[in-house]
Amino acid sequence: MPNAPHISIQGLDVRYRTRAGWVTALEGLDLEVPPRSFVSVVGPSGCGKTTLLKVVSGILRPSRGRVLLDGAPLETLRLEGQVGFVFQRPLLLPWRTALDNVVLASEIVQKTVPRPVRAAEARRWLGITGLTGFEDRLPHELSGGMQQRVALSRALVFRPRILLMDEPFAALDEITREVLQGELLKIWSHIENTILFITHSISEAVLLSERVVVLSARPGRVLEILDIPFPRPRTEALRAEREFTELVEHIRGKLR
Amino acid sequence: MRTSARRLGGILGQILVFVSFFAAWELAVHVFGFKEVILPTPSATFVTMWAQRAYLLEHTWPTVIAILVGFGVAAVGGFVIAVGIAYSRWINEITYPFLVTAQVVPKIALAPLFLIWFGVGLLPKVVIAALIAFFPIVINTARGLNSVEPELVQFMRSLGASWWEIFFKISLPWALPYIFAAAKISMTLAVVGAVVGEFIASDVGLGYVVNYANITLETRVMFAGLLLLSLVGIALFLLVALVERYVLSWQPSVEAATPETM
Repeated sequence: MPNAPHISIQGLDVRYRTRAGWVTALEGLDLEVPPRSFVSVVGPSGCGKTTLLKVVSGILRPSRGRVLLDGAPLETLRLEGQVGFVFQRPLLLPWRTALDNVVLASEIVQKTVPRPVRAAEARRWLGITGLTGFEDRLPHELSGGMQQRVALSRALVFRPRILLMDEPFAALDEITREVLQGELLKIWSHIENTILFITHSISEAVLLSERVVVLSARPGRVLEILDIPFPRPRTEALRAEREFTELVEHIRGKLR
Repeated sequence: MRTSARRLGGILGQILVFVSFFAAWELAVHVFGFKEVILPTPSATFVTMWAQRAYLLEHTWPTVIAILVGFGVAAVGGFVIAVGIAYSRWINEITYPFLVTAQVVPKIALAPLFLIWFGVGLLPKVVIAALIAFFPIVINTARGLNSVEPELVQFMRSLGASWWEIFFKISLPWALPYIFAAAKISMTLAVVGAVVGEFIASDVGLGYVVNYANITLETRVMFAGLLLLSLVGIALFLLVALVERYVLSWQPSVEAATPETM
């Protein structure tokens, strides 16, 4: 099992140039993500949530500040194959079956692992995400929710240390979204990843995470960091509890 | 069951259109009393096709070879240029104006020049066919390669994928529908190119047959040659469509996007 890292974000500024001039996406962001934790980032659109993921995955260099993984600066580490991504859209390859779409990731990361072993592992992940029996379907033969399950399997099959999720359920209908939220929690209890989860749904963040980071509109600054006290396993029933709605209302007030 | 019945109806309809066209043609010749040297009847054309089958077939193969070689050169050359354009902004910027200019130049008008340069034979035909056919391949392949989802490429990079892995596992298959759409256009353009070449710089091929029959006023032979050329063009187009259907069998829209008999 991969050892989940402690992610430490310190004094992060991200500025980039657009046609209209310099834009500050993130400003003075400090954030601690303990190993194996589930941390959500909520904020209005354009608050630099996605920018934060890009910095943590090493795609984007910050203008100031640093990101440490277990105390080591990000840029000194080889991150390839240690980060799993799930995007808002499934982004599957339409010519590959569900199984082969999952195998795609291990083909790149685990080149030394024999092909049948990779296939078996991909099959196992499709089972965990509830797609047993759909391994040989092409993406267009699967519903949006099922496609996103394939994408989740693809992000986890090579045992990354970090899982980055960028509004993974935003494009799904409400019922599918709630089902997948529940399943993500179940899966998370079996794996040892540090999860950084981006969402614009406050209730989703509160339901899923141990820690919620509330960002302001651009430039993105941390408005508040809340630890979510509810015990696990959490279920949909939590939504009905007063403490839950109070937390959601509190965050909503912050964002207004 | 229902779809196959509908499909059969579609094919019958398509055949009916052709039959009506030839019937109207036949009728028009009789009604207006065209001389055979002006417009022979389709029936006379078919009779001539059969009577002259050995002569016509002998001249079919050089044309088919010229078309296929020209198309092949256009496909490979166009693909290489497209990869350069898609992945290098520099190559894109410096070559694009030249490519457009090369496309705008009427290549048919260059045919006499190629006769001087390359003499009579396969080479001038191939050069003209390739020049006419390569542009759609370049444009469509480049566009296909550029249409890959950037997030997918980002994901592959985060896994540590090399340029080659991203190209062969993602970009190239992603571009295939675009490439096949272009290949179908290019194949028909290669037919035009090869025939133009045969008009001017050849003593074999169906283009030569049509041109020679025109000069000697054997209009029936000319029409027989034209008809055969059309059949060759259709067959080669269907060949590309068939390969497309096989290679892109994963694509849900191929059925819908391609006419049923193709």
